[in-house]
Amino acid sequence: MIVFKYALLRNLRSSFSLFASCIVPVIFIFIYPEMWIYAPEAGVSMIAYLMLLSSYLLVGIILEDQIDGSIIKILASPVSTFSYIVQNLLASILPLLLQITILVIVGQVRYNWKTEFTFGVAVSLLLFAIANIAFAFCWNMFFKSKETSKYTFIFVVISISLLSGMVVPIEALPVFLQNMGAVSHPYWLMRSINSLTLNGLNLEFWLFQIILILFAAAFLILGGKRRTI
Amino acid sequence: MKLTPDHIFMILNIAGLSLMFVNWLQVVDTAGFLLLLFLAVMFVVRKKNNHPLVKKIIFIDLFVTVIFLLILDSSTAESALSFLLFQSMFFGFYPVVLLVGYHVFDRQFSSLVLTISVTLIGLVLSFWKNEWSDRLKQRDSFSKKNFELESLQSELTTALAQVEQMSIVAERSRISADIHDNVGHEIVASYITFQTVRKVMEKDPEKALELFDKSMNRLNVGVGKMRDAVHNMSAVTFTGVDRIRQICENYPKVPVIFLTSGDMTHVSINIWHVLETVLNESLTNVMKHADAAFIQVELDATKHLIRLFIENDGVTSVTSSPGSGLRNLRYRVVTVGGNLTFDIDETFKVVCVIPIN
Repeated sequence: MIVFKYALLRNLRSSFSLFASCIVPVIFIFIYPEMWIYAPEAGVSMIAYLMLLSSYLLVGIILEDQIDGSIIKILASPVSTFSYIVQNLLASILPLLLQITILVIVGQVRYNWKTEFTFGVAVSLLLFAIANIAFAFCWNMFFKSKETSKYTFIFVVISISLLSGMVVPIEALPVFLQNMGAVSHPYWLMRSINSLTLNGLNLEFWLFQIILILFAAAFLILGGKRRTI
Repeated sequence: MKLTPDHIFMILNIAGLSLMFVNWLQVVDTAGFLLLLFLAVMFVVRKKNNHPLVKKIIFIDLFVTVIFLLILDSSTAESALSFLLFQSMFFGFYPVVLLVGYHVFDRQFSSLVLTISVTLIGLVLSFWKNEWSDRLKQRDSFSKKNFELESLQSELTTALAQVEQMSIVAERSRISADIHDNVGHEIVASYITFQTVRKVMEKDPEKALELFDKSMNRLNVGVGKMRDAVHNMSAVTFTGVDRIRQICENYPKVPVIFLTSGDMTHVSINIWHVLETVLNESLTNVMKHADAAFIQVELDATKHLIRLFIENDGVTSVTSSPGSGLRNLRYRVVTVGGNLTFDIDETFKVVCVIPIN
């Protein structure tokens, strides 16, 4: 797990990455207590939005390795491509897991969420975090330049967050755009959280989780091609 | 980029998935999207992995789609069946059409037409892909054979040069041994006797005269042995430029004008061999295909290359492509780093240029 260790250290050393992926969400969890108590789904969507943006920073180290040529040295050592990718992605997902843990603990203890809701939020956000990391990884694999990758990612994230109902409710969008966001995973997280709020843990909720898993699988398969490393 | 059946297949798959998504936007059911996403993931898995077994997982897609159709009654599943039928045809799982076919006839006429169309497109793509694969295999096989022939040619050329070098060394050793064993002894003995003659000349002139005659006899024997050695050393057959001249002189139909220029002593045996082949083939061609009244052969050597020029006036037809004999000749010349060109104008010209080093 040497790759995991150093990937984690690199993520933690980057102050901006640490600030965006850990500190901001944690601060956000503790402010606006009324929102977290009476409309927790709004707070969860904002946390998800932050996760979506910060996932790029966390996975960016793979692209850095690719650009500066470190990847050649790493893969020349007895580390398989699969092991390298898995360990990096695990290290990237850890800060997101941390904020999910803090959110569910604080939600349960401080904001008196129902256990069912807390469990549902934890599962949804966990799968969403995995899909996010896979998405950022897949996105990076299509680019050779960090700048191009970064700015197009921001553009796409803003677009899909608008279309998926993370920033504004879907109903506020024009009719023909209301379900276009379905091609992105945040749309299914929002539907999952809405379903959880209205109906609890039912079959529909679990179908949404399966969709999130399939999104993660699709992104990992698309991005995990050896030649791009 | 060359358009292949795989490219068309991929484009049609993406188009199919997009159309199903547009269709889904009219109903927006979770089950339908789940199926759509599942099919997309399976498509990506198949696209990423070229192993033949991976293609067979299309039966999982079919199984899941049928479940969605029968249990959840998803409208997306109906479109998905046509999509999977297209994929099955492409991968060569033709019996799938029987499995799916029973359901198709229950549907609207437009759906039936769509399904039959995509099935036919899948079939056509499948046949195209098979032909494409066969052609690729054939090309690979030819490339492999060509590579083997080139390797063999290269090895033979190297071996020829080595044999030539070894022959030179062996011949040099033989000459050295002959001179040492036969001529050397006689000359050294005469030399020593002549030294004795010088010493005894004043004291005993008769003895000196006798020794002088003996020395002369030994020298005479030595000269005779040297003549024999030189005679034994001379080649039985002609080589190099002499061989080229001999071929020209022996041409039966018309006299061949043979001209040479330059120093040809440093041209190696294998190059002479190639030149000889070129000349033989060219003269044979003239004999077989042309009624030439005039043939001229020029051989020019410079420090770096040797040029053989053959010209005849017996042009019978004007053609731009050389025959197999000339093509083989060109191939042989190219293997020693040279170049062979033909020119058909008022006369037929063959020019062969080969670098010496």
